[in-house]
Amino acid sequence: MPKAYYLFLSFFLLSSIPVSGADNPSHGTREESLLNRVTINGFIRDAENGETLIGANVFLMGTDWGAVTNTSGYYVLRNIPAGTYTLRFSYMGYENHFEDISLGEGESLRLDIQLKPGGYTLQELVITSKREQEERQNIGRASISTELITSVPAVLQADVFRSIQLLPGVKAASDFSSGLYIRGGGPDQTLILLDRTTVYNPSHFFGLFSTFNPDAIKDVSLYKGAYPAMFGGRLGSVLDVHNKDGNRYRTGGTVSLGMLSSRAMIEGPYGGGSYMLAVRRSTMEPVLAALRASQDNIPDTFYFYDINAKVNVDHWENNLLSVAFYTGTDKVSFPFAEDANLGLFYGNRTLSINWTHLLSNHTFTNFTLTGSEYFNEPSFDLAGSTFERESTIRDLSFKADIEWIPSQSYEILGGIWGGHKVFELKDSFDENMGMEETITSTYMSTYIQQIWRPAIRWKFNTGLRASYYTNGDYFRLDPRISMEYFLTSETRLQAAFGRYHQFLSLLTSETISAFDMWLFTDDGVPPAYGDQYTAGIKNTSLTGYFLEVEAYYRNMRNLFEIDPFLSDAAGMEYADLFRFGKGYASGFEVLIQKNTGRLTGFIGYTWGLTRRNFEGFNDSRYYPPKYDRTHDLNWVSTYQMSSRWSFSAVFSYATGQAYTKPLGRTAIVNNPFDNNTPNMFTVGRVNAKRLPPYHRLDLSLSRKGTFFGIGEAEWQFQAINVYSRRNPWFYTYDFDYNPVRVSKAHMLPIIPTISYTVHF
Amino acid sequence: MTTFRLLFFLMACFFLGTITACELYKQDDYVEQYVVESYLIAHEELPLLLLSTTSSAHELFDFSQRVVSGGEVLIHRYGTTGVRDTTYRYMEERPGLYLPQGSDTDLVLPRHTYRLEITLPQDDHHKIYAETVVPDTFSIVETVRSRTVYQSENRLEFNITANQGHRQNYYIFSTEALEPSPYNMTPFWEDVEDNYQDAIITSTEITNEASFTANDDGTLNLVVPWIAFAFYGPSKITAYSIDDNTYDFFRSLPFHIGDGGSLLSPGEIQNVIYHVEGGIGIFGSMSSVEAEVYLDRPAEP
Repeated sequence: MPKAYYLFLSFFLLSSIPVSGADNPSHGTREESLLNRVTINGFIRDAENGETLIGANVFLMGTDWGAVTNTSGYYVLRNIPAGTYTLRFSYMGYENHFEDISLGEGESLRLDIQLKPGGYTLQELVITSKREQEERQNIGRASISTELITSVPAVLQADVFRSIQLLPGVKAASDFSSGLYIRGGGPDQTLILLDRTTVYNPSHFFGLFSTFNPDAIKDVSLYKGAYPAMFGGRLGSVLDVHNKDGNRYRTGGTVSLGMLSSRAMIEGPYGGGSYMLAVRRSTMEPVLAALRASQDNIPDTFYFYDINAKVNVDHWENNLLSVAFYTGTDKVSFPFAEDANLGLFYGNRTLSINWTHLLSNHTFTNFTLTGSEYFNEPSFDLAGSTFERESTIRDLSFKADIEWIPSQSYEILGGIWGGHKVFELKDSFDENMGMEETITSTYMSTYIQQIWRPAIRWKFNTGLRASYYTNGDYFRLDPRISMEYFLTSETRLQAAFGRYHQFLSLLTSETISAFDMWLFTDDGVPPAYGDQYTAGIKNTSLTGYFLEVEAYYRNMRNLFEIDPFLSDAAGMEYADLFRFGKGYASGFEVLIQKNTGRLTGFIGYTWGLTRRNFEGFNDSRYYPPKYDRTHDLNWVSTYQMSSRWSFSAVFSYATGQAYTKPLGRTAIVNNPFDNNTPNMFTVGRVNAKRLPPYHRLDLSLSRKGTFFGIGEAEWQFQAINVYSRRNPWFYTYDFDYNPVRVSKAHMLPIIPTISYTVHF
Repeated sequence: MTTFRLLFFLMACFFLGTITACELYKQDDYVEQYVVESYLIAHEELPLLLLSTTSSAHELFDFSQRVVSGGEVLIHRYGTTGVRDTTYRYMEERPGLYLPQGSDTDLVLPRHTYRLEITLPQDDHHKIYAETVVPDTFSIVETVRSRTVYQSENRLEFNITANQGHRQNYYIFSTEALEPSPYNMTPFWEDVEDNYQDAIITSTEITNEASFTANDDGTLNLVVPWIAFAFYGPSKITAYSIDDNTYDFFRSLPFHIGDGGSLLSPGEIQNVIYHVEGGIGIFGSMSSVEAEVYLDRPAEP
């Protein structure tokens, strides 16, 4: 590694070490003894169900002191001068809570607060503190509310990933894919965590939906890029999903009937804490059975389900214990021809045991034991000749994180994440084992991250992450740094840099995710790495509006992907299975968000450029992947017509996707192996042409009411692609015609859906 | 409003910067290319060679209109030591079809390198080169079973020698029905093939040597998959061990039409892998063995 790189590492780590007593001078003189100051800490929860609130704000009115709750809903206000204050607790969608306190010298106060939910769409939020939502608006970070997920029009059913795809910088490969393509990265470049546990293939129904059940989810945070040192292992981004803890005060639930699937969730208290159980299952069997009576080629078996469960133990004041469990499976058996069958069977299972412990009122620790398994067992049976694959990843890991807040202007976070992964792949044809590969790898990563506010206007977040994989003996260092400058109380300038390494690669198809398989680094297959540079500006000067502009550039090196021309992997050296390449992406994103009033929503625009280069492909030139889109615009709005009726609309526009235009053709006329005379295209620059622009309008109308006095109910009437725009997906070529016949494969036509949900 | 002015100034700067800095990636135009097709089979006579050109992708394609006449075709043979020992001159038998001149008795030698050299005087002496190393031969040492009932427990099996080389062998299996008729097709093929004549000769995808079971004596146990049989009755099975050119060409061939059926994105088309300098196509080689088998129709349930 170049010397300059180490020099840079040393420089930025040393430069960010705070000087002694670096609390902001406006809060007191340096001479004033810190011992005489006070600390306020506690958890912020939802008053109706006791859920901890992630990213809630605490503000000491009349000062600049403030804090934000972490992912456990915990906050600390540190080194406050003794005195009498009014504390304001706030959270989007909740009523503000005010608390008057009076503290003597050296006192500490444990203050757990419960916020009452309020109709945030109607509520007038007054932004008075520059610390408000500070964490949520960190560079590269975006959050999406569960209300948005369930209210925006969605294809057949509400979906987390489909909602995330509306954010600037996030793209979908097609109407049929819930995969996340973020800032020029493919789906494998996003680390997906559910309750701190890695989920390897979060998709159902060939990839049309994500596995996350919106009923079970409490919080979704997306780090689109330049993410901090506390995360690692992916080149691009992090999606951090937390399930609900369950209602701590009363038993309740939700039942939702939809056209594709139905959901049920129950939550409530028990003696020592709370629980939550959410189940979702496809409900297509009756439709398929009816179709099977009159149609050929209908699957014999076609279902998916998922179960989320969580149990919390709140017995102790300074300790929280939770156990979260997820399992999801898709199964398909499709006799697509006489004496032929396609079988799909894949799913994920995760388990996390999480212990949160307050070492002191300003030292927060979190320990998590995680287990994650992804299995995929596709099979083809053609005339009695069977191809079978068994691919499994088992990942058992332990995480420990500590958050130490020695002063209000300085926080330090650190942690380790170690584990053991086992990857197994077995390919067999006609009961002959073709490929049998087992890769076990022990991995360890550790990080240190410090957040320093040397002055009112400045904030630095620096970190260093070290990762080690036993397979291939790879040790890598990832420095990260971000800084903020508060130009005014409403405007923040932000910049960030980070280096990222990725030790695994996804074998996937943009057409269908049911065959997804992960592959790891090993001897001859070094980890991919890349640098990200991001700069942005956030503005809240207009009451109720939020404006965000971010620009990014990132490069990607040592990308390793399965060679798409690989015919049979049996007996091949592991490194020979891959093609190696590089890439880069740049762009800028604009987000204008309106949070208040009857009309809420956002407009997101992205200008982007993504390129890839693989040796031996496209004459080793850079070319745009299919998901590269120069312009991408999403307009999402919800109008609350009354307390019962609401209306939502989503309009999307994007530059047409890249495709390869065939230039020439020829044919093999003397094929020595069979009767076929294969036709071939010749091409020039790969993906140099664009399909027509993509655009679509989705509408949703909701009516709230009651269900026989038992609970609240909601009807949702939705239409996807209301003007039935036939957006092309790709061109197909039929050589049975001469000249070759070109036709379009289209994306989704108009799809009306209806759902009924009861909350009790 | 100062903030907004700054904001929009930054946006404008960045936008202009990215637009002006972006590379040009424009669609290139069609360029006609020469196409070569020839396959050398060990211990068989030197093969014919077809020389043609591509046509524009969306024009009517008529191979007879694309053939190239007047080419000067030579194939040089190099021994296992790398020394050129023979040169074969090809003559144009009919437009675009070239045959070796006066070397009827010369057979293709395994483990030898053959280098194709074509000169096109009418095109400013344009040169086309390609080279192949002919795979070593192999043989069937034992026919474990050559007749059985379709989809029964008893499979058609052979033990073949594993030829020696610098890498594992890649095989393609071809099955030719010797008594084809639309009334004796196997169920799968009857369902998927509209014209039975298109299924008379079928072939498998490339299969690596490591996919077969190695016997203790070093031979490979080949179990013929049922999918290889489109017809009941007698069939001839040919196993080809292919060279690098044929391997690269046929492994990349199925994925060149951008239908999303591979790991490439739908709509992305990559050129087939050619090892031809000055043109495209294939100058490949292989060794082969043949066996006749018989497949009985299972009894009606």
